[in-house]
Amino acid sequence: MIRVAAVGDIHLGPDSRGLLRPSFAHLEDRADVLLLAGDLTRHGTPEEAAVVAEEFEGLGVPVIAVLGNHDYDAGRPEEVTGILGERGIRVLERSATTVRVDATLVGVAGTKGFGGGFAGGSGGEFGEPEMKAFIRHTRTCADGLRGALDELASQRCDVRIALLHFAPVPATVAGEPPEIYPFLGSYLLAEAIDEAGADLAVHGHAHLGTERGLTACGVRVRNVAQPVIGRAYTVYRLHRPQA
Amino acid sequence: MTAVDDTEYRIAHLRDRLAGDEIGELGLRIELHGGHVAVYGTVATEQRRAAVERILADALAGLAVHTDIVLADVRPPVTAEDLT
Repeated sequence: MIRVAAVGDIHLGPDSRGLLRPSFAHLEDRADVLLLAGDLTRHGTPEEAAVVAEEFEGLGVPVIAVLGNHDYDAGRPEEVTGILGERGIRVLERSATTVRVDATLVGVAGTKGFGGGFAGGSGGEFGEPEMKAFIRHTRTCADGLRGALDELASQRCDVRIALLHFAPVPATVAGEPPEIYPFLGSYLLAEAIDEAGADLAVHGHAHLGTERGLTACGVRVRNVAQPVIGRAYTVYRLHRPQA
Repeated sequence: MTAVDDTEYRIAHLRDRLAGDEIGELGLRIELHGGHVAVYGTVATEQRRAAVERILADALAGLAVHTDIVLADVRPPVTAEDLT
């Protein structure tokens, strides 16, 4: 059994320094790994990233993150990634990493993802260059996620988790105004997860959404945006089928 | 008609202002019910709630505004979900 702690959309800044840290004391007694599902800051400045690094460094379990749209706002995502990386937080973007928990090899594939909408109400690569670029970015994220999950399969991971910021399915954004669904996620992300296979997909971004959903091929999806889970983090216990 | 009712445009611009301000709040739900504006959501700190309320008072001056903005509950979880 693997214990996965997760939270997204914590939006830290200098005014929230030290706010979360006490709730993550003794995390190693409750979880084997912590996933951060993006929007770790408000605007993605180095000052805000330093607060995130202070809150999550040296927790006693591996910390794996993706960035969210807020973390790109200042146009310095590489610096944010670097500041977190220096403090031991692994930031994924169309990439993967592994964690060994006793005899189990856990793989995490991550991407920020992007919008475009869900099946039946989605945009396409058509028309103006701006629209094509919008959907192309989502497709790039989805293709990168698929490749990262495939890489984890080739490493013979026992458990594979997809970590995103944007939502792969509409079920977990339910509660948000329907008009903004195309800005909350994309079916391309779910399609990549289903094609490559995963045991769990975790995302954030939709503060007014719903925690639990499922992809078309039955992969569990969990929206761990902090306002959705209503706690400092949540824990999923993944039980592997007996061989 | 004697005046343009620009409430829905003011709400749209309010969203831009909340996002662009230092607090960067995009996760609030802002609804118009008749002549009343309701604002719901969760923010991380008391300072940010105060900042949101300041911006609301300025941007929606003259309208009846109902705010229901709560602070994030950052206690550790008491349960875990088993995925079998």
